[in-house]
Amino acid sequence: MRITWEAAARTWRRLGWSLRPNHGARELDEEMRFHHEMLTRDFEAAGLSPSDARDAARRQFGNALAMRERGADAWTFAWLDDLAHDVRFGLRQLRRNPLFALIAIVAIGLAIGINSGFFTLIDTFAWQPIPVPHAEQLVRMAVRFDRGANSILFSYPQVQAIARNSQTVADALPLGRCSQVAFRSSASAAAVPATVACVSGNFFQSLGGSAAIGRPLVPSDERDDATPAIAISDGFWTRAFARAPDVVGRDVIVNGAHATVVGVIRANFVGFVPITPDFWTTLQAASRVGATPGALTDPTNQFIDMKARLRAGVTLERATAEVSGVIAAAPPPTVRADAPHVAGVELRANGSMLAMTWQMVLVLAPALIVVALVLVIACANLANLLLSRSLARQREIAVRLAIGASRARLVRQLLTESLLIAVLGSALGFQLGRWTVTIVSRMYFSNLPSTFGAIALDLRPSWRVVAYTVTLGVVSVLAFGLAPALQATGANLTGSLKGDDTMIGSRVRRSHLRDALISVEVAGSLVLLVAAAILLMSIRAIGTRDAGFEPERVSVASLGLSAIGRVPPALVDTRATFAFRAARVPGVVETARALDAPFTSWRLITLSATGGSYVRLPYNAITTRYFDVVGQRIVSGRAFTPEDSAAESAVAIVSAAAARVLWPSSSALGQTLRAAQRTDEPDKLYRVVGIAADAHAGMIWDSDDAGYVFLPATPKDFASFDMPLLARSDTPEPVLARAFEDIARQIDVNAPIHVEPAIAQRDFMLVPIRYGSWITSAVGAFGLGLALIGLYGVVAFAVEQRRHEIAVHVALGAASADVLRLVVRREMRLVVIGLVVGLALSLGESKLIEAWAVPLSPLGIGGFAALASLLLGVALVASVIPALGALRIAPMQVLRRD
Amino acid sequence: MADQKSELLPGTLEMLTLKTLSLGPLHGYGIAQHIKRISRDVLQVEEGSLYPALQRMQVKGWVKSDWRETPTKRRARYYQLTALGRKQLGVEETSFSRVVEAIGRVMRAEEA
Repeated sequence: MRITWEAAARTWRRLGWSLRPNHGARELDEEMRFHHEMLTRDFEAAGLSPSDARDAARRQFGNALAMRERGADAWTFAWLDDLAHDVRFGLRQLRRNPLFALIAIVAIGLAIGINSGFFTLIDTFAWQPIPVPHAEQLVRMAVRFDRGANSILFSYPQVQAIARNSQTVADALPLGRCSQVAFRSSASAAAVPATVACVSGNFFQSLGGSAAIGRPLVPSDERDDATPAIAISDGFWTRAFARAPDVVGRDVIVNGAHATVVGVIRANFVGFVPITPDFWTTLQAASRVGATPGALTDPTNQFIDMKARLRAGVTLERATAEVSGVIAAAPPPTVRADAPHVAGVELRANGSMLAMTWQMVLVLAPALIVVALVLVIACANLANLLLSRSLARQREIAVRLAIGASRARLVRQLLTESLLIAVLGSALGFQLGRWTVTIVSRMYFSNLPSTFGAIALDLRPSWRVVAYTVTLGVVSVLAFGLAPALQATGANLTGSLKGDDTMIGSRVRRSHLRDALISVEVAGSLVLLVAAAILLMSIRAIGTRDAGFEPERVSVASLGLSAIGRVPPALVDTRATFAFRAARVPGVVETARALDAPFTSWRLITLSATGGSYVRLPYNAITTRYFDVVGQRIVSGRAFTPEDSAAESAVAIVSAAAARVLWPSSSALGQTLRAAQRTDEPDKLYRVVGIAADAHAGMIWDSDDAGYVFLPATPKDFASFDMPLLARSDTPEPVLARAFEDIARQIDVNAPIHVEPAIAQRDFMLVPIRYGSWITSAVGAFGLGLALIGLYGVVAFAVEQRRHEIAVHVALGAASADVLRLVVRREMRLVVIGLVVGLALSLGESKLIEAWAVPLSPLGIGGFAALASLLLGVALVASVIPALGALRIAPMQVLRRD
Repeated sequence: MADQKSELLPGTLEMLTLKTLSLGPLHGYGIAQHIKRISRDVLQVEEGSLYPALQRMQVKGWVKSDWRETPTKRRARYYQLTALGRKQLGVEETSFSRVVEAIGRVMRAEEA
């Protein structure tokens, strides 16, 4: 300990000294002048003349400047001085080759930028705590039953029990799943649909949501006797109120009931998820305006997502045990004796937006590898370039080594140059990464339908991102700077001094490092291009594959607000009237209504064939003419008839694939389906009356052998779900949409209507894949470009290095083709090695990509071969062009030089 | 003998300087003169070694300096010993004596 204390004290004194102006040089000067004067006086006293005395004194005194510097040396940090010197030297070197510096910095910057940007995305979603105070105290809850699956939905009585009785929960933060509402910003304004988040009064205070103007919701807003209070979002303030400054206190009309705007929440508030509703209100107020799917006090009405903030210092285990006890005492969700009973709750930490599970890692891993590859290629390139440059400076380095510079010192100096490039590149990359992520995410999210709500993403770079970027920079420096520096300074001194590297006969030291780097670059580029190709081909395939039905001329019309679980009877009638009139619009061929439109996510039903085990299959409740509208064939049996719907007869139609799953050895017609009910009622029985052709009617990533089940739509369906209208028509979609809108307005001027073609959903689903393919293609092209530039540089350098050899060959009568082959052969062999390695990696990579849920069409042998040939061809061109320079070597001139 | 400059034993400059300063604060010139005089001109300190040594000792905290007026009304930097320096003087003195004694024993040895 004593040692470090002394060192610390010394450093402290040094710091003090270095703060003095000019390191106290003037003081040292004065001190030495004094000494000099005294010596002069002594010599004068000994008998010399004044001028002689001065000279004698100066001679004795010695070199004042050297003394001063040596004195000052005691004070400075030696390594700091060295570093400053190296940095100045490195900057000078870079300035002398501005083109090289620019290319190097930009290449590294782009590569690091891509990595940094990608990591920022992961960081924001997976690691960054939700930007609320003390996010580590937040948990989400699920109801545990004594048998069966957990339920993430709570009823209001359960929420109240937890809020009132739990000792470990500091704040209960329920979030009700509420329907859209009809919103009128004033008594005279038209109604627009608005999304609402139903929360508790302590929501904003607990999550740190403050109001930009006015106030947020507070617990007193939960009282039943007050006018419903709403807090609007910044986006909604712009859309519905044109940012009117007097919005606070305004009387608005929600679903026909009066409410008051109490404030506008600040624009960058992010709650649990980055999706901002149009406005927030309390559960009580929402229930009063009919936005909740049922009465609040009804214990069977389970519609609330439950999150909570635990008290400081409470562990998850303790809270789980305690809340489980509380909820067991709450009114149960069902009164049936044989239903599963509430056993307790399950708590999970909710600190960040995405949980980092193994599946998430698997999904992200390929993308991470891809972007890391670009960095690898860039570093390999840069290393090659630096190698070439340092080999060109061989003589200079040899001289410096010969006159006594230590190898470590020289390596440090060369590394400093690389460090400069990496630092500048990292800074550039960091900024590029941020810009790219912001731009791309804004572009991406602007494509989402507005029913999602606005996205409020806070893409702040956290310290993790900075640390990651810095690490990448350091690793890059080591990757592309260290090896060339070591190799350059390990030179054969006398050989380099004499210019041995260009003499014939001496072993031209083949840089194995450089060879390996070329192969690495080529392999990396191939992997990138394969990824891009797979994605591009998948998009095409999805777009053009035979869906099994004809969605092209089908439109989907949704009338009225999307309700969850309970449709007001008036709306049921409105929709029926609309369907009736829409069928009679000129140009409409057929109409039908269905539970789910094509290309959306279909609900699942648990079924079994008689005697078989239960499976879960997607199903749809449809009216009679569904199959005609979507163009799906019935292969055997019959379609539904109007009598089936009216009489609620227990018939069903299955797709051919479902039939194979349920009855593998016999025909499905006439068989009985058993459908398990949600409560403990006995299975409902259906008789199969028809088999439909296979179709990709659900989400695009459902596997090809998914079966579907169709049931006739019942009045209960119409009373509980939206049941959008599907229409096949001959007229173009915009004309049809306008006709539908007119009809809707005639029936009910306030009900919003939304018409879109059926394939719009499918294309929307393709958006992330499309983005992925663009990005991968861009990245792949970038990587390829880098590799090609590197290859060009390497061949050009090889030509330069071997000009003696070439000159001899030419002098001895080699043909041009022979010379070219001589120069290019070694490099092309490396390229081929790289391609082979790259192919092997790509095969593994496509297996990884298939682990994603998207049905990507794998690249056939032909595809791989095509890509590899493309790379080979391009590499050949990149090699031959500089090799042509070899042909221009005038042999006699070269041989006579040196 | 005045112009026969003997070299200081290596490593002893700092010890001699510390000892000099233990007798009282002095400027650089004074230190050099003192050593020269007391050693009867045997040990003559090179200015080129003295000042860097003084700086080093300042860094190590053995001496500290400040500017004062000389008796002849000139401005000069005076050095003085710190507590740490005093302790260091003792250490170096002990170590030096031990080495000298050991050398003496070797030189006086009559037989191998």
